[in-house]
Amino acid sequence: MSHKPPKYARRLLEFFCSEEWTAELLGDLEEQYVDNISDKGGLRAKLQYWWEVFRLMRPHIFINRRKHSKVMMTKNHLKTSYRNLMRNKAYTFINLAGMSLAFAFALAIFAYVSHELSYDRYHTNADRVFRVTQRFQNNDGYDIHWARVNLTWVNELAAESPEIESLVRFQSFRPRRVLVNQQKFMESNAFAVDSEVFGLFDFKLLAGDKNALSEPQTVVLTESIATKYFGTQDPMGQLIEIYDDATDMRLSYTVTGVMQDQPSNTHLPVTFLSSINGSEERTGWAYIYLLLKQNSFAETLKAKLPEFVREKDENGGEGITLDLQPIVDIHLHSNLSRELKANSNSSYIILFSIVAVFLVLISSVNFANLSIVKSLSRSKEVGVRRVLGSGKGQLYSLFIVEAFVLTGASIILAMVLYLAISPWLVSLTGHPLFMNWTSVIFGGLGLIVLIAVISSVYPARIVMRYALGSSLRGNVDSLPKHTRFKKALIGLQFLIALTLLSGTLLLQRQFSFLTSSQLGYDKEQLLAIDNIPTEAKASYEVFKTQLMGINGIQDVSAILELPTRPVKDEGRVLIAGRPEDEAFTADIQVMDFNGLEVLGIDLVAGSNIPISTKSQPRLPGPEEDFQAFLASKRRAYMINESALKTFGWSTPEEAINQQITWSIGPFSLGQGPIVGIVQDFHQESLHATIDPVVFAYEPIWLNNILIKTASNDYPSLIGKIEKIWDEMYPELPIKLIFADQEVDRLYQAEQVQRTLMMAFSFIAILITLLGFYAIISYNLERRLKEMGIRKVLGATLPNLFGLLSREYVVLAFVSLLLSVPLIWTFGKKWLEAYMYRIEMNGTSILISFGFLTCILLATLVFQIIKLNRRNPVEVLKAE
Amino acid sequence: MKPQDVSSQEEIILLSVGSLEPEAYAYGLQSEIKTEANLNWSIGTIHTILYRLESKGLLKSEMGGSSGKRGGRSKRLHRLTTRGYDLAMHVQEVRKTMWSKLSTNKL
Repeated sequence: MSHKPPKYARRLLEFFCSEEWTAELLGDLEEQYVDNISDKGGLRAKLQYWWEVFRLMRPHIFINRRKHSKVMMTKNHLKTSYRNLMRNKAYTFINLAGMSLAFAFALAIFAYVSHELSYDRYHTNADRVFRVTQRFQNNDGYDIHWARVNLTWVNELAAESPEIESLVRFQSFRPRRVLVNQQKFMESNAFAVDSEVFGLFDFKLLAGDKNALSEPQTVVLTESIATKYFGTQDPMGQLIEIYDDATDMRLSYTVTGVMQDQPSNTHLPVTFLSSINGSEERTGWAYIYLLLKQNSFAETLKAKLPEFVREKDENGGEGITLDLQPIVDIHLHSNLSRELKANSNSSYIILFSIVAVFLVLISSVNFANLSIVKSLSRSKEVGVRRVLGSGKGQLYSLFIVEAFVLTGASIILAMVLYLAISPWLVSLTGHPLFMNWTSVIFGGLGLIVLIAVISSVYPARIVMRYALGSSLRGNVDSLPKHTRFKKALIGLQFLIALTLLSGTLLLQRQFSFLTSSQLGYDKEQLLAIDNIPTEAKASYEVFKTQLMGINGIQDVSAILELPTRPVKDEGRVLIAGRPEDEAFTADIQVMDFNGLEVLGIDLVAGSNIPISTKSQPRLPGPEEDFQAFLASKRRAYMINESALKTFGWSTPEEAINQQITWSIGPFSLGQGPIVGIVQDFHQESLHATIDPVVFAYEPIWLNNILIKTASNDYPSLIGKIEKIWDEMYPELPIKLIFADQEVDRLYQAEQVQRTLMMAFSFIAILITLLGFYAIISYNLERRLKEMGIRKVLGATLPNLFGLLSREYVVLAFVSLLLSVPLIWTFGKKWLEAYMYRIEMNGTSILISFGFLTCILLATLVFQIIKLNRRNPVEVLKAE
Repeated sequence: MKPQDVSSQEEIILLSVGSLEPEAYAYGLQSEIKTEANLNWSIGTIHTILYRLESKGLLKSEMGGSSGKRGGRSKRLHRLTTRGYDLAMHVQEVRKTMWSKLSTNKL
């Protein structure tokens, strides 16, 4: 049995007990403990010891931690801090500016990142809602993963799986044409949905109830759409007419609900919900969402899907895979074909978070550096205070108070600055950012404490370490060098600045590569009428003739899908004379005969599709008739260079006059010869490769009208075009777009990243510059006398520069060595997301390195020249 | 000093300090109180009362007298001041008078 009393209880007592009582009380307790061991045994003795210690927690025994002098000193410290900061206005300004800039931008990143992470989380059932996706693969290497589903039997999943509470289809997602009181509108983000939709998503209903869509031909609008249609009138019970694209008929719908506008942080922007008018309509392409029951697992359901597919599909589910995606993951982790909205990528989130940490880190390092430098000038003050009886704690508090004043002020400034730059951020990202101010304030407080304490304790310790005498004389020769610490800090800053700058340059190079690359077609002076309805397709030729009459319009054509938009209607290409299992897949593109000309696309070989195949558009009737109609027409095809290669021909001459057939599902275009080879052009953005494309002529598939203009007077041209349209189709809305703007939109994400990165690296370089300045001036101050002696002995300015710059140059090279692998790996990884990209080379790193080293040395030169102006005698006689 | 200025806890401490003098220190007092009055007071309680009585001027203390049992730490030894002694006596006298009245009355 141990005769020592419990150690931790003793420690506890020593911790709280004033020195005055400690010895006697420990003695009493130990005496009692020894007696107890013999009377009651070890355990009870120990317990009693603990108990007695707790009972000793009494006011008169506690250490007296509050001394009046300290309370008063804080006020004095505040005053001296203020005076000190005012005296060194330049220093205060540099420090404040650097810190608040860094924090403001870190705040901006925080706002951006938390907005990105908040996607779809506002739905109450967000963790139980999943999207069904469909993947199709075949042996030809065809592999496509759609965000939507076109298998009608997926509807049966709800009834057959006990895990599912409800299944909701979002279908008819094409822009909807709407007629309200003789006014026409075109609504994107309109869907026909099952009535259970309000149980899945938090579409907050301002009027109507959860059963708003249970009757056929009912519609729920968002508030802003309702205002657009009906102004101040009550929208409830009003009638609107919707065009049905498939049948080209108008159907009347009753407004049965009004919902709040959706926030921007959703992958599913909804403005207009119409009912599905019966189970026979629940077919075709749809985005399908499932609400799982409470306590059900998506994994269990996922495991059953392959079996379900095998059972339901008439061909045994060959090549078909269904998958489930949690809706909260869609924005950052899904990048499927036919997403509702361009998604973001989690790697950007990581990139920006790292940048934010970098910014805060270098500004804090800077703050610490500057505090160390400034502490030199305080050594006399500290000496006087020590002589007058300041304790250690009071001296620490002197430095801590000053650091708190500075960090506190810069965080407040940062918030103001953030509010000032937020309009710019909103215009850049295109949506409002929500800031969680409570977490910002708590995080800010934590940061203030952390930075203030860390950055003030170290200089305080340095200053207090001087011998009292030398510090009173203001003698700074005995200052500690703390070389390693200082070098590590400056090296870290250099490394971060170098990494950010070369990253930015890399981004910039890739961006200008993307935007200046030859797209293969001419996007200038090109207008398009987006998604024309069937009625307009039928009278396209008349409309075209009318447009051609406008002065300033050079040519008019029509196309299946505008360049910049993926076609992704991949069909089978069968080449006559080759076995049927050797079929290839290729996209279809349909153009009017002058399409290539209007788009400025060249033919590599052969000729355009002969105009003799021209036909009148025929509206799709019953499916069998339409199939027969498509197959029976006389065809001629063109293919692009990529198709030429894929189909296994080495020269265009081999391909020309080969007979091919293009078909998708039951729709076959019939056999025809290849008449021409089209030069490759970028139908999609440069993120994607150029797919094999087959070009055909089929007027019913000319979904968009292209207008090549000869003048730049767009307002008047658009006015004229719209006038003709309105005369011809008074009930149909028109949507005119500019081709070059569409191209720019493809690289919007890069544009935002580039601008943000430029701003961030600018801030980082600025802060690093301040850091260099501080460290160099500290170093020079310390070696002032040495420099004086050297000058007296005849050292010239270049001599001094060579001597002083050596260590910084070494440091810069070490940072360069460290940053190269960093930039190389990250840069490579980032570039891999692009199908068409620049080659990584050393230029961006070298340019940044040269730039930063120049800045570093320039700072040094500036300081040395300043120093050089001083008379060495002054410096030397200071003793 | 009036007798009501002292609580019964303080009275017990005064009495036991007086009876243990010059060896009146906190642990010794704790054992004394346990044996004589059968009260389980913690050292903290006793220490607080000692502190209070000392600040009232009824006790005085000095350090001294260590032993190996206490890890060589010295004790704080308390003794009664004249005022302390007088007060203790006064309290006893008041009680004695009042008790004799009570017992006569009950006879």
